[in-house]
Amino acid sequence: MPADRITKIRISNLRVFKDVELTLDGLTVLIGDNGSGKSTLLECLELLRHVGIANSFAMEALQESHGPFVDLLRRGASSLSLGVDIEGDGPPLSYGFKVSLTGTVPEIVAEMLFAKGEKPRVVLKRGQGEFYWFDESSQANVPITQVPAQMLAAAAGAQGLSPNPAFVRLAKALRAIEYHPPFEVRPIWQQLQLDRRQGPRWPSPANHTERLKRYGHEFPAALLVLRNDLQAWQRFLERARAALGPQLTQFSIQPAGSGQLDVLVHFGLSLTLPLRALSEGQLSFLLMLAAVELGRGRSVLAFDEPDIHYHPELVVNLVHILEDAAQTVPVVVATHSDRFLDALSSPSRSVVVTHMQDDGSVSLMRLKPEQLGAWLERYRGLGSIRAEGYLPHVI
Amino acid sequence: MIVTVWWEDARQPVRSKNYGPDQFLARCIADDLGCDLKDALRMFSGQPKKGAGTIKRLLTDEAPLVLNRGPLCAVLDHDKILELWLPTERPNDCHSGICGAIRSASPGDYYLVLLHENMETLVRAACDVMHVDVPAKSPQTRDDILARLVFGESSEKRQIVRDAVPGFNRLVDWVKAVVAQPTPSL
Repeated sequence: MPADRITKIRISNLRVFKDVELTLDGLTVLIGDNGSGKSTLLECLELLRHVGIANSFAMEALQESHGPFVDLLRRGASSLSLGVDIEGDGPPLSYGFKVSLTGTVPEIVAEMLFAKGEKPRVVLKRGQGEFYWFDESSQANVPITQVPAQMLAAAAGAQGLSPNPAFVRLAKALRAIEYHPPFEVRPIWQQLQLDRRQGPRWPSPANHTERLKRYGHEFPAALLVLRNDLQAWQRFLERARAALGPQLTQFSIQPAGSGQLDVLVHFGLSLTLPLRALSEGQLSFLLMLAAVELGRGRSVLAFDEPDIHYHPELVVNLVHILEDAAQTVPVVVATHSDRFLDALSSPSRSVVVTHMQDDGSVSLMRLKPEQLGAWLERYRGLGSIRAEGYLPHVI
Repeated sequence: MIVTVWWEDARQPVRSKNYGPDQFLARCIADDLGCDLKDALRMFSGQPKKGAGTIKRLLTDEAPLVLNRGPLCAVLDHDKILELWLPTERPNDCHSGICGAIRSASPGDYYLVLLHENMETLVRAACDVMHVDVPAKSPQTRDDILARLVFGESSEKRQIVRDAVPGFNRLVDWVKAVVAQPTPSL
């Protein structure tokens, strides 16, 4: 069975979003003006990831990490909702929850998990005085007593408190959300000015990892994992040559003292450079490749402006890599790059425009294939159409 | 419905939110309708095009696509039109004669506005009414002057500028008229 993947996100009353849902199928490219909610949408994915982890989601994620909660709420609203659809490893699941402001703290007021399958049924319900889940073995609803009020049932499922396997799938899929803001590839002299000594340009601990850490931290450990998969490693090397040149022969991971690892880059037989010597674009591209290769089993892969620092030709490479990855895992990208849009093989399928409406809320719009087709006969791609000011004509 | 305005311009066709002619057109509409500038800016999609030659080509090649989604107006500088559309004979270089020549070369249901001389006429009129020296010609100075007129002057002063450039006034009236029409259902 294929791994579970996120196929839809629903957001209500969160920052600029009043009530939107986004279907994720293959590569989804978010474009729109500054302040139109692209990064907020990606942040919602990160919030959803916390659902399967946090013991007190409302306080830990909504109040402390991403909050205060009132800043997350849409202006004038007193509660927000998030939801996802999950498909893959079993009957499709639909999950959502609502958090309200009670006094000054957020409180979970509603939660529901619905399994669609052959026998559609509510697997979990919380709210309006009810709090139960469906027990597969007894085929009956069981009142929930052991889950604390501030804990979402998804996290309870992950901790083995639930009698229903749907919770385990839900928790697993939410924890498998992977979101990468731009990688920390600043030159070392700039990082020193900011008093930062962590990231891909620095030696890092040999911790076990299954994915590339956010900002590209612990890159050597991620490379070690990648190197264990010969096919993935060959693909990584081949694609890396697009940024580092055809002379690139190998990467080696070296001890750097104190249990730390460092990466060396080998060109031909005579030139070896430390990873920290690479340019921002080169390093960022390597990190992107690693994130994509290690992200193939995720429920969704999301990148905020991954094309920063890239030469236009590299942007085209990036698009091909993301489109390839999107065949196995939903990929979401927010970008401002016209070159990125020009390189898309199917912009009408991939692109979602975030559009600020008159009431200050943001709507999500898809392109009209028939309109776009006529314009694409005249322009190189969607990016060129947008640069000329014709985007409104194709949505 | 999308109302599109093509501006003949010297600059490369890079869209900017602070594009002076867009801002001034929207402010004039807002003055007349009593609405916010922000709302007036949403009534049309202004697009600078490099040179009258580009617009001549686009009126044939792209106008049908644009007209699929709504009305189109091309704003041309009077000073280059004769060379492009009437290079040999000039018996009818009046407004209707020139428009007729353009339409026969590029048939279509678009609207044409011919600015007397060019956009600099508008900039000069703006400088006159604001009592400032006319700056050296450049897209940046044009946008600066028009921004001052849009954000720092009264509607009465803007009306004086519009009266001095009748072509621009026709453009304002055209946008107001087309947005006032009921939107056809899709």
